[in-house]
Amino acid sequence: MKDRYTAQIDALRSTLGKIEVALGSIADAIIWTDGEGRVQWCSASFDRLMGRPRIGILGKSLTELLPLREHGVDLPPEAHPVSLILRDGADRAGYYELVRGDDLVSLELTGHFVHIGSPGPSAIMVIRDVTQARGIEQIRLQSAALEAAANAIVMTDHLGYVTWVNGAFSRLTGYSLDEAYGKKLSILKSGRHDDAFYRGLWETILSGSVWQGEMINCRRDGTLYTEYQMITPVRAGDGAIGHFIAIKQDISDRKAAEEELRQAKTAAEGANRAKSEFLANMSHEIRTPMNSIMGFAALLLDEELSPEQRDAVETIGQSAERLLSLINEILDLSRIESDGMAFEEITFDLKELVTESVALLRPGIGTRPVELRCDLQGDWWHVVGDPLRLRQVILNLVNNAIKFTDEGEIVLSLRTAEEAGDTLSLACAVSDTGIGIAEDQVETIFEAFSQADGSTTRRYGGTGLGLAISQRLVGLMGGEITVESRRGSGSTFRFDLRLGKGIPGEGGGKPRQTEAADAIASAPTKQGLAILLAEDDPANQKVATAMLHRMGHRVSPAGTGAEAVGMAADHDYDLILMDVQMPEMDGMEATRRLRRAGITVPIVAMTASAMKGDRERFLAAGMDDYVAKPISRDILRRVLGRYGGGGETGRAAPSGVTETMQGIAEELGIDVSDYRDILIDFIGDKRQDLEDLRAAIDGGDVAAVQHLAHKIKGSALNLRLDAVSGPAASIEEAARGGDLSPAQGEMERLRRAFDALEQAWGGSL
Amino acid sequence: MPTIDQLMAASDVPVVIADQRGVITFVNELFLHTFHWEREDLIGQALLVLIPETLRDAHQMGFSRFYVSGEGTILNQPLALEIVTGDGATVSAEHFIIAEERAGEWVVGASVRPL
Repeated sequence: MKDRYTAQIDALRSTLGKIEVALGSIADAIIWTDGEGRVQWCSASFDRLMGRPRIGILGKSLTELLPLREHGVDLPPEAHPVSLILRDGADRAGYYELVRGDDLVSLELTGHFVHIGSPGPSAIMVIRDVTQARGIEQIRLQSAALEAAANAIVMTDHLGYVTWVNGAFSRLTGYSLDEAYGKKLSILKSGRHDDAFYRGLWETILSGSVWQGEMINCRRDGTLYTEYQMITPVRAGDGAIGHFIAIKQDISDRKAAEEELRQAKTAAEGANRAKSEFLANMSHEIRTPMNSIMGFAALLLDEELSPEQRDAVETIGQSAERLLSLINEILDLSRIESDGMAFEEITFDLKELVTESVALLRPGIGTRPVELRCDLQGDWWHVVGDPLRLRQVILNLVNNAIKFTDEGEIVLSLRTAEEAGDTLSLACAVSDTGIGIAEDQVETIFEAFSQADGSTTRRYGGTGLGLAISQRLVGLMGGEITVESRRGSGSTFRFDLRLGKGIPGEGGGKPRQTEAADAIASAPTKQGLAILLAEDDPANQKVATAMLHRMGHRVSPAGTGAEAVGMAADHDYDLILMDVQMPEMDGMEATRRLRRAGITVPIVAMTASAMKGDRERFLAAGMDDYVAKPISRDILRRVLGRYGGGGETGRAAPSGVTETMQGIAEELGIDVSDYRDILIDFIGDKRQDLEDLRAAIDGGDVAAVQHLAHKIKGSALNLRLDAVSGPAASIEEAARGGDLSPAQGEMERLRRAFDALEQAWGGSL
Repeated sequence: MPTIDQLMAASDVPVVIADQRGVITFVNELFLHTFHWEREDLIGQALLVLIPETLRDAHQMGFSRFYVSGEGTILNQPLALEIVTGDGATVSAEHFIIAEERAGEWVVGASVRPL
């Protein structure tokens, strides 16, 4: 009996043992707990899941043994699935995470509520480790994302053989995954990059760095495209580069758009340049006949004329002058816009420039009750810049203010402040109590050919180019003109500039025309030069010949460059005046030939273009100097003076002075009567400076001599009073050298020149 | 690692020995004294009388597996397990369980030191 029972128990035990082994072979862990959630039994897989032997687990609470997280949040014991199953008496399934050491394990839990056998209920939990499956799912999702990406993505092994491409890659290149797989990406080579390009790329990625850049590649169908590509090396677990991932973006459209834009820009710039060149050429073409008109008008005025005839000729001259100033403005604008405007960098006295500019314009107020004054604040007034251009801007702004102000005041205010380094900040404002500008017109007044109101042109005259030119000049000097204005309550124009700080007395370079003026004072004078005049235009030839004859020179005209070369080879001349633009052989070529033939006579170019770089070209061709057309007698006289032809000196007769004045006024673009007023002011103002200078020379005060001489020179230069500025410059030079001995003689010359001026204007006062 | 004979001879440590069916065949004096059992209440009884309720299922399953396969997962290592005393209490004790094959049958023995 007992043996039968024993045998039966043994059989049951054997079965139970097999079941235990069978359950242990299931990958999923199986646990049953008692009604309190304590582990009663678990399969061998639970050991593997927990990483500890299950003997230590038995009898422990599953909520403590298996702390779970759901969606990244730790579950409290009462929310643990085993607690919920036992609480609710119901089955439950779900996904949870388990933190095991450094790993996050994903678990799928299926729990059953059972009430069998043992006292009280139990829970049977089946736990599946789905970490890997979830990882695979994640990878599947990422893979789907890569596949769906808009950018072309390609993966290669470490040798560059394709292991995977996405759909965008296939659409971009025309190669499917099957076609690209196992191939090198060199299937995309377009031949547009050299070997060094690819070598550089490989060097970069093999060193472990990311390569990115543009590349022109070739599609399967042979068409080219441009892509922006980023190639990232991916290191394997052992640190060696195992793969490369390239992400490509098709930028062909963008490149095409950029190219279109570039071409459009080039075309627009070309058109604009052509326009500017056309304007410059037109101006040139107009200036040439204008030269004759003005020249002959001036010559005619020297003849015996009836009052009516004189009036007519004067009108011709004045009209021509106005036309010329208009052309000058257009030429200025086109020079600026064609980038042909050259700026000088010289030291000048800003205070003098301003004072004299205002003095120049004051006569323009006439009888209107308008007060024009300067408000200058600052300690330092010697600046480095382009005095002619700055003066042009100030003249324009003040002139505008005068033009549009019937009563009240116009204030030109300048503030200078020293800044760190060698710079000065200059704040300039011109305010008036004039008609003002309506708000909606403020925007357009700086545009070329624009006045605030079309009707203003008729009432106030002018080309409307002044502000446009001024704005561009200030812009080129690094500033901007702004305006505040309301209709009826005046306007204020402002601009700020940063200028170099100049040292008084260190003149640096000087404007060319004043260099010429300085030369006059020291040049030995010789009346009656033998001049070869090469000029193809008969009218201009006549004018120049007449002018030169009247100055007492002998003139041999040549109609072409070739003729001039032949004549210069056969005869000795003191000077050649060479028109630059002549048919057949131009002045440049003629000059080169003359220089090659060893002819050293001074050659002065005559040109109407005077664009940036011209002077350098002339000098390179072997010319010594140039004069701008239309040629005025004054300029001609001064240039000739440099080459020994005598110029205006202090000994000039009153009639000579008058001629000079006409020329200077022309050059400054102002009325002769205004110039005369300024001149008279100058004589009055500088008398005292002259006395002080003499006293300083006698007293041996070198610093005072230098300062005063510089002051006189500067003012005289602005007024083109070469006979005054010449000796003053020599005195300044002597003082700078510390030796005042030559100053006595120069002082005598200066005094004579001044006396001559006074004498000349005595009758006019 | 002691042998069954050494266990049976030991007097300084409580010892219990069972056959391959889990029937208790030997307990020493120190075991009876330590865990308040009478010899006649244990000899011929199943080991289950010494195993608390919560461990019984696991014991049955594990012992059956050992019976069928000879593979034990708890042998030859010190284990902290609870044991039921003769007066019905449950105490913790360090079990060191060994198994020896004798004449074709397994003999299982354990030293059980109270903790």
